[in-house]
Amino acid sequence: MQTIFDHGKYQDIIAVLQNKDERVAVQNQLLKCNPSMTVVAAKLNIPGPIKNNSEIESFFAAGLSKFEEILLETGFNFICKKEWLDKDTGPERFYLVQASAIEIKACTSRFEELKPSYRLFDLDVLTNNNGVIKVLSRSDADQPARKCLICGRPAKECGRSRRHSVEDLQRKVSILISTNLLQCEKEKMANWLTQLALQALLYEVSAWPKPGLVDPVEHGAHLDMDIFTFINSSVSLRNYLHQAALIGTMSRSDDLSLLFEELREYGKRAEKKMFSVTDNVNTHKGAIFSLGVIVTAVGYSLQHLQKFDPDNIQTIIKHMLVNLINDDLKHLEQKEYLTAGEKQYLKYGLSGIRGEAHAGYPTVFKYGLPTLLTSVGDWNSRILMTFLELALHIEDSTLIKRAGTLTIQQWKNKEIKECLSLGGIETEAGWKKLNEIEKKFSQQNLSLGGTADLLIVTIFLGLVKEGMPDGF
Amino acid sequence: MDVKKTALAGTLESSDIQITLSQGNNGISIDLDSSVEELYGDQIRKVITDTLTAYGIDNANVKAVDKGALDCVIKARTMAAAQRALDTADQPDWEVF
Repeated sequence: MQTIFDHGKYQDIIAVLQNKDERVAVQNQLLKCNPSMTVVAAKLNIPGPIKNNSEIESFFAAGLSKFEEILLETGFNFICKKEWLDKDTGPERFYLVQASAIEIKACTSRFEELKPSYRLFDLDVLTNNNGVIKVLSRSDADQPARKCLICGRPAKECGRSRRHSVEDLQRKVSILISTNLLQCEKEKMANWLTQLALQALLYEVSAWPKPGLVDPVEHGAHLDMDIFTFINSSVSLRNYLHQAALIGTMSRSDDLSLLFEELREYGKRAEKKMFSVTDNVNTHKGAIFSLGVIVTAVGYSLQHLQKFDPDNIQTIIKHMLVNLINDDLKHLEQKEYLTAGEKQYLKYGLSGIRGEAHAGYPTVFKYGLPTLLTSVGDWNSRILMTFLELALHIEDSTLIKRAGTLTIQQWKNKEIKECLSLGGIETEAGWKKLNEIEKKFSQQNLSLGGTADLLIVTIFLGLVKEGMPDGF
Repeated sequence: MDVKKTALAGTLESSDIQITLSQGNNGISIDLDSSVEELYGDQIRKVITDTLTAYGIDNANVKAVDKGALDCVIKARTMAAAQRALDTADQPDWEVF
């Protein structure tokens, strides 16, 4: 069996003992210079001759950031005073903490119990009592003695008698560390997706000129909001987007419709939050739905495939939303209050964004994303080209709602095709045409709100694709 | 041989042992403090005595504070203490090790 111990430098007893001497010298020096502070000396208990390698070092650093979070949340101020992370005898870090030893011991205990792998951490708490250096032992803090990783007997007994082979111990430690590193990778992935999703929201609103939408220059079709309303709204959704990313990257379920149900509850809370920061203006209601679904789906796909695979993402979306049409559009006659999309379903039989979503966002994957990925120039140009392509192929329920007629679609398509035939935003004539279209939309109070939602998710997908390492 | 001066080696870190050697005139007398004394006290004493004997030390008071050290650690720390006490080299005598 492969373990993380297949690489790393063998350490002999002399190196390990010399390192202990150095550690004690550092600890004593820190306590001497800072007698009112408590020292936390952090290291790992790694059995066997290999004490450090890339995996061990990552595990150590990631674990300690969790420990630091505990100190931060508890309100104990600390300074990371010295560290040697890549030393062959093992990674170590020394903190000065402004709190009593017993209070800090409570933090280290909480930390050690956080995850099974954290029992590999050894956090010594030391104080200077009028020149006498004292280590707070586990028994001082009413903690039971450490137990053996393998059999649960007191660790010191098994260690002393060498009851277990180095190979067995390494295998156990390797599993603990690998499991933890996998978890860290997923957390990193979720944070990354959250950031890209937030970027996508802000990129979309920043591109100019967008007919029928809010941009930094004009918002004639939406007089009740402006770019700042959108900034407020976008930033308020960070937590929601992170939840969506976590559902995707972490989920162990293969019932994808359950993932969607879970997401939807978070989505309802996110809507409330959005309305609270926008003076009850609907900025991102559609985006909360679509971006949430896509962030979750991308997270889930990356968790399983470790590469960007549009077909797989679409399949996941379809499975997530398998009940959407039935659940949402079935009993509309009995509903008291209907959304624009629901009304149009009853009036025109258009399934709108639900239909688009339910089918796995074909407009996004067939028209939006290929356009974005092959587009050139700055982000503003790329987003506008993508916007035109999406606007041309979408049944925009917001547009139909504002116009009150389906024929508005033909007018919209004619205008956009004209702009594209002039060369789109690449040419002066196309650019001029786009500005004209924007004016017309504003004058007639027409909106392309549905297109904006698809544009946001397309930008998100483009950012993910372009942010993946080469070959993924 | 007798020890010339008091010498210390090792730390109170876990898996280590701190050995303090001082002059004595009653053979090798060991004051051991260990959490595994009941199970391994005799073994720890034997490793210390054997190591000191290999250096030719017959009389010494030994204070040993054990934090779960393995035999090889006890031996290395005792060697370091012995050499400091005998005022010989600062490096371990590899043949004894």
